[in-house]
Amino acid sequence: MTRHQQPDSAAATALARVRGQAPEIRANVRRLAAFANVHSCPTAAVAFAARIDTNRVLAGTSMEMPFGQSPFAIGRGVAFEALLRRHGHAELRRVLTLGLDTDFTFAAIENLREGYPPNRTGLRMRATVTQTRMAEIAGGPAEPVVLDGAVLEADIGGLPAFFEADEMAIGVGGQIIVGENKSWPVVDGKPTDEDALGAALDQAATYVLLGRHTLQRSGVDPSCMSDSVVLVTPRNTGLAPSLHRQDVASRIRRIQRLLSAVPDVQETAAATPASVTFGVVADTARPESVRLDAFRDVTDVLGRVYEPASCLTSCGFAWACRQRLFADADPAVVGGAVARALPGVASLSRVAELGQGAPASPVEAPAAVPVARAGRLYDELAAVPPDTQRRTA
Amino acid sequence: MTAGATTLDDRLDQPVIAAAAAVEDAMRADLMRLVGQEAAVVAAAPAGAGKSHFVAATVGELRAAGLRVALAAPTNDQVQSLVQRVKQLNPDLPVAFVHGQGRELPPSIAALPGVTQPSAADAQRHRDPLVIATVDKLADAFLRNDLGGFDVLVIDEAYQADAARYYTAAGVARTHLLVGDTGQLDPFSPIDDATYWRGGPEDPLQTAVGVLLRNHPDAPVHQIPVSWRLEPRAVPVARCFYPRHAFGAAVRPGVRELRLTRPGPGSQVLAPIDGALDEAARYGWAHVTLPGAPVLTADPATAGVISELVHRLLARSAQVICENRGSLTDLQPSEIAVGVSHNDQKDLVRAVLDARGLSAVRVDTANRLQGLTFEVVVAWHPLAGATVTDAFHLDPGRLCVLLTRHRQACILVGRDSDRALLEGIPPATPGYLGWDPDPVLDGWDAHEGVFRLLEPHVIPA
Amino acid sequence: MSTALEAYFAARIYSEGQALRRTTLRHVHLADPPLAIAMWRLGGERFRAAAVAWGPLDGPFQLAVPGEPRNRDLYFAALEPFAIDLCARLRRAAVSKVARQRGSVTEHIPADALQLVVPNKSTVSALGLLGRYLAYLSDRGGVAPHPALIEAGKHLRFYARNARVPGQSLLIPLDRLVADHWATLLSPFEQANLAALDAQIEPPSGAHPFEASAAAEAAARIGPEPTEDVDRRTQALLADFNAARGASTDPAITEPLTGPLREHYRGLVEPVWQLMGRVVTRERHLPAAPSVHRRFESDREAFGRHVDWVVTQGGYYRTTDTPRQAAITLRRLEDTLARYEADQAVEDPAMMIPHLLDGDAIRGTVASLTETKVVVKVRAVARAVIAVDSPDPVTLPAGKLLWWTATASDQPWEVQSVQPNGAGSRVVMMLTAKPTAERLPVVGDVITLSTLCTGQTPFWLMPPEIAPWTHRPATPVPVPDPIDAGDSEQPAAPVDAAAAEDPGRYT
Repeated sequence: MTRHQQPDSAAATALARVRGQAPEIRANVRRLAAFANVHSCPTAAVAFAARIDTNRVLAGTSMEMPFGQSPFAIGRGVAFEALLRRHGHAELRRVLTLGLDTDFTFAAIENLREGYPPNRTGLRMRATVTQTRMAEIAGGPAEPVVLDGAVLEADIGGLPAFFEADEMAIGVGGQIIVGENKSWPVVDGKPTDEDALGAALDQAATYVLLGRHTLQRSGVDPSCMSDSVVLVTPRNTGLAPSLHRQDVASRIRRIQRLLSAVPDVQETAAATPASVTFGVVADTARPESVRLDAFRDVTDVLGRVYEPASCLTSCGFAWACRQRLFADADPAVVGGAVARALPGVASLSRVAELGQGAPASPVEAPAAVPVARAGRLYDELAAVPPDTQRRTA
Repeated sequence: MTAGATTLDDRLDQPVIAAAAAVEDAMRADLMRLVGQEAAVVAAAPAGAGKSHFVAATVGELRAAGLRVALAAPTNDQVQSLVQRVKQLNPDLPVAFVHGQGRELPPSIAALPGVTQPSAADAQRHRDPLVIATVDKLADAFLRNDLGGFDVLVIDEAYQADAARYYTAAGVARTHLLVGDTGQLDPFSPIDDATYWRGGPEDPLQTAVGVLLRNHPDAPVHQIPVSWRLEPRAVPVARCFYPRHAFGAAVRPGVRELRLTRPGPGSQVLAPIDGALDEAARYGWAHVTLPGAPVLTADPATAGVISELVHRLLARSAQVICENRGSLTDLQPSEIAVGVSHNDQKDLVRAVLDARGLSAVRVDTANRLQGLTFEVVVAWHPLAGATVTDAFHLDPGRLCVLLTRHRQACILVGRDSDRALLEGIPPATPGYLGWDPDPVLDGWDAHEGVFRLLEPHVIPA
Repeated sequence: MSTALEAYFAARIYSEGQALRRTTLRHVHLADPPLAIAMWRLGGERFRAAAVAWGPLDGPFQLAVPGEPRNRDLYFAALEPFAIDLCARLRRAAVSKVARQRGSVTEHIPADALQLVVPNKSTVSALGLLGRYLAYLSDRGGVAPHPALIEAGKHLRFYARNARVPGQSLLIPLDRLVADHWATLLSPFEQANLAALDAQIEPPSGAHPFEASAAAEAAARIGPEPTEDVDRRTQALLADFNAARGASTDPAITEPLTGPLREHYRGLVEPVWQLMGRVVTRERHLPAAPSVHRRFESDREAFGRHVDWVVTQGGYYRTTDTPRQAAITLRRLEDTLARYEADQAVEDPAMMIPHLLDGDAIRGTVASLTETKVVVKVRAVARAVIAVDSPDPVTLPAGKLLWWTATASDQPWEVQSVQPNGAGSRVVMMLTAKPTAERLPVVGDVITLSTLCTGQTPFWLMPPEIAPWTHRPATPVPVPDPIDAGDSEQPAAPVDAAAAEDPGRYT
């Protein structure tokens, strides 16, 4: 992997200008995953490059999306991790031993979350320690070593970022195995949410990939990082952990593509027009109408690509974008399936016109004909007296 | 190359065939060793591997050893052609074909000597030593206590049979041979929470091979390293769907040929069509790309191009030669197929071809084309004109079926914007504990591989 | 789903500012009133309800608030009235039976069944998990949990699993009910919010459905999973509650202390209750489709079998399906789905529209009806032939079997030919059975034929009880831990996002 040159100060200035005083967020594993869901949106790409926390830009407006988390959910996660660490990582040793067929009772477990400053400096130090420990795999360690809170440094679009893996077991059958903790339960052998499981596996796959890059930097064979990862979750009620092993080779390939598709900070800075800034949008001192108009103007310049399920789960601009699509009568507001049925037809208003008998152009005809037919059939077959339509009284 | 001057043996790649024969021998040895035990052998075969030939030969051997054999496959078409194959290789072997109501053998097969069509009860009463039936019929007959006590159960297309069907049929014999193609379409259900059981041992929609290996991971699995249908130019593209399964073509390069007359003067307007046909004849592949534009799934322009390709192929007096034919013979319309993904695409192409008098050309979805062989295939790319990717269109099994039916040449038709869909990032996928495959991501890789390999054969239309 | 129809809906709703009905009939049984349940979990706790509201939907709800739901004693004490009431209502509903003739056998199935409604599909899963927990509770220190809790758990689990059956009406997630009967501008993802759906259908006067639902999304709190603001309030109140009770689980002490938490959750449930009532009343207005009765009868049958097993025999269900059970369930779900789709389209012309658009159905005027003779096996039999003129082009092949909606449970018509006819097609079909009067349409009528039939599904035998060796693991599977092993653990302290170093890691 070639290292990008550090972005020059012009690029840094440009991106800071794009960000304005909008809240900032560094790249991390979840930010990356969210970006993957919206990667074809130019606004999302610029926001990512400028390290803007899209979830908080519209705070204080009616377009602010409720992305917060219950304190009990967070507390459960904190408690689960604490449980794994109690009494010299007793529970972690137990599940790793059971799940990896290797005795971890006396393994050295280094807790990298304690004893380091809680800032970038600390992360950098932890990354150095992690890299060193990982490189020791080359020497064929006799006993496995476990890193709790391993940190991997990566270049994301030209800016360094740090990624924290929950566990890394170094020296299991000559391999390094990544472990991810989640506090949602596995019940009767199945997670209660298959999408959450997929996301957790994607996170672990990210660490495997970045771990391979780290090994390469140390001149160690990257295939020492195992394709299969470990997931530690509670079983049933309570927090008693259990371990699951899963191969994530295809997810690792996907994350590779994700990293290649991440917008380059330098290029984005150069390509973004000078008028673009999210400063006004994020300015809580200004009236909502001014902020939302600014959002409209900025995203008009950059371009918006909206898909309901992807955007509403991954980007804090989704409600505001959806509003724009509605104003523009864009069929995509209802989702891709409808948009796919309307190639060549500019807007929902146009579809309505065609439905009322306006002549279709040759480009519009293939889509207009079935839609008009749908309308005719609906008028013919779905006639319901208006009174029974919706009144509940 | 003048095929007439050489023998069949010269036209075939002997080392590849020998390697495949060795694997098949090893499979049979494993099977014979395990007869009498509750055990199974799995044979994974790529498209066109000559599974039916292997199955027919194996059945013959089992019978020669005095064993009672039940042979099953998921669909009626498949079991009927199995009867034919078994008889072809074992002319003296009596075959009892047990079928559902209205599913008799076509007269040509029924008339073969030794072929009977008894009821399940009669087959059991006579202790018919070789019974062929669909998996469903075999299961049904077993449940009614009509049919059972076989020594070996052979299931063809075992990667397309689901664990639920296998559950009932499994009881007819202690020892099983499961033969199937890992690359083609998986078992499918129309219910909207089909993944409810996925990853669990009870999953009724896992493949028959999947449930067997899950419970008995020590069962020997052999990979047959040959395809008889695909020729050397087709193998690299087919390999996209078998990343962990190496295989070669049985036929040597240059043996198969598709010959067309030259396009006459004044046919400039058909230049891309002719160009595609010439490319396909020369390289075995062509990828026709219409200009990228948002279009309906059942896009009339694409259907039009497909119909032009078929029509022009015949208009240019296409002739074929191969290892089985001593000389060039005219390509018949029935030896051409158009493969699509959706029923409305099928209806559209069917109507267009019928209007041109080409009703003998087969048009069908990938589901229906599984297991079949044609000389030339025109395939409507699953991603043609799409604006986003999704699990259905990325399904590697679908593309695999479309691109591995042909013996001579395959022409893929899509839009030049299709490839760009795979330049982004594959969608996020759900996870299932205990189930490693990821059809969306595997499909993405396979599709990308195909685009890459067909790049030199792109013909803009 | 027909994308052309969805596009038509989207365009019309956009320009006219009114949601549109997808159906002319109601395809699901709605009790009057159903028993509604709304619940709020504690964030991140899949088995802990911080509040359960229940009651007949036409009246006020009862509210169970444990205070600290992670304390087993408090949790059970709060859930007991809910469990007892649920079991009582369910048993009451199963008491009176009707006779049902099946061939030569007369069975007795319940005349009614307890119908549950919940705001959304996630509540169905939440109740399923609650049931999974309650039904398999183990003793603590020799003390068994109240039997009503266990029985209620079995009921909840049954209802949640039965909810997979297409067209069932024992447990109705109202978001699904509304989305099935109405077209709106909401994408499938957004349709999970019942308040948003309701706002699209009945926006405040003058507002466009889109704006109304956007406002509803921002304001509505529906559960079962709490949002940050809801649980921040719970966190404060729960801290007070726990501080005030000390370590006591004596109801005399803890009950009075739950006041503020009860108020908090009452305030959350109240609008949800109103919403559910509005939604059900609106949907009840439409007349029920004829097959609703038959489907509800199947529901009653399943209900009766469940009550018999659990109540009369005190039986348990397995926690996971055996391969046999899964195979049977798969088959049943597929058969039921096919039948449900056919019933809806055949009985409700509006539901036939997607099939007409997708080419699985044709609609047109009967241009002619003639009789002819064909040879079947060796005899000459009478056969009816009709020609139907469809104004839209038809692309069906010869040999295709189509059922006339009026005789959808009977024999099909076989397509003989399809010819262009003006802008449309003339389809000639032959009835594949004896041409009796009921089977024949009248010339000049407009009729619909489709690939959907509502006749008896083919009979299939149950798979063997004993699994074949292929479906049995070579090494025995270890016995799983009891579901409630974690009940004796100390509850985790809540951590506000502002206080957490990196709150995002705990999603």
